[in-house]
Amino acid sequence: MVIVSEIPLLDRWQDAWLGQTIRASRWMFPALESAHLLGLAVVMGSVLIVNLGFFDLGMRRARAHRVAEQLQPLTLGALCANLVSGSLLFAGDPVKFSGDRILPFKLGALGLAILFQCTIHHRATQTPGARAGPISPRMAAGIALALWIAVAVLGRGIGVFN
Amino acid sequence: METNSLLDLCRWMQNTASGTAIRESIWVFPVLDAVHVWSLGLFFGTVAVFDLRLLGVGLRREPVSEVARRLLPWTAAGFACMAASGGLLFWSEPMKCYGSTAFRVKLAAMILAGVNALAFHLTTYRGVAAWDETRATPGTARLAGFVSLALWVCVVVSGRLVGYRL
Repeated sequence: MVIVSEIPLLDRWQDAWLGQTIRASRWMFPALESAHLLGLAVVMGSVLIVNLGFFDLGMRRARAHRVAEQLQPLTLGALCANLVSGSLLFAGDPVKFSGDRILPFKLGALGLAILFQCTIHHRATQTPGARAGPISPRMAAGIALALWIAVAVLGRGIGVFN
Repeated sequence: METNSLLDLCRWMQNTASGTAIRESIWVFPVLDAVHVWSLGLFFGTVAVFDLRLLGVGLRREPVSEVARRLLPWTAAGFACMAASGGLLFWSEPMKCYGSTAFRVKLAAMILAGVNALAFHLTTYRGVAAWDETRATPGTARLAGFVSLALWVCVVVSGRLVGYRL
């Protein structure tokens, strides 16, 4: 449900130049959705490779810290690209997306995943040996997997449950 | 009315009880669609990491053969999920796919990506021992990695366009 006091703001948003440009073009939405899809595949793929490695699935556990370090730029780069494409998709149809029942949960899970990834997970997975963080690398890997899977599951629900 | 054997096959599929049931179901179609997107992370993500390694980016401190041996089974599992969910999606909407230029482009790009991967594994990859640990992979390996990435991006983009009935 949209809160009444938000509607004038949303109307202005809907009329904004950026949103109008995106809506006016036949190609903008499919192009943004394609970019978002590619970005999410790279984020999910690299997150799976890094974190499953700590369970000796995929890459070797002995090299998991090194793998985490090497793939971090790829995960963060794709994540940034998806924050941009996702924001543009929102700008293209703010009334639809702000009324979506799943989107707030997806954004909440995404916020948690990014926060965890850049703090506890980063310290636990990228410093081999030393007790670098409050939790073990394996636990950090498991929590990160759960958070990112939640983001992917909730993301697929946007536009479906309305 | 246009007629040929491929079109007849698609018409028959479209009218099967199972295809109709998937197409008209409330849950099965969206679930197949979701599985198709989720497996993309496993499939495209692992393909991209291996192709980037061939280009000397990403896992460049790991031997190429190690990345291949450890990741390609996951790529294959991702592909199996994509093929199963995609096959059922096609089974339920063959006429839409038949009439879609994007779908034809997608299939063509998939075939080319398969040929590229096969050619790479039968030729350049045979000599991997000579450049396994180096960042400076041979030109043919870089070319194979770049072509693979470009074709799979094309598959994902044209796949998305099928939904727009292009």
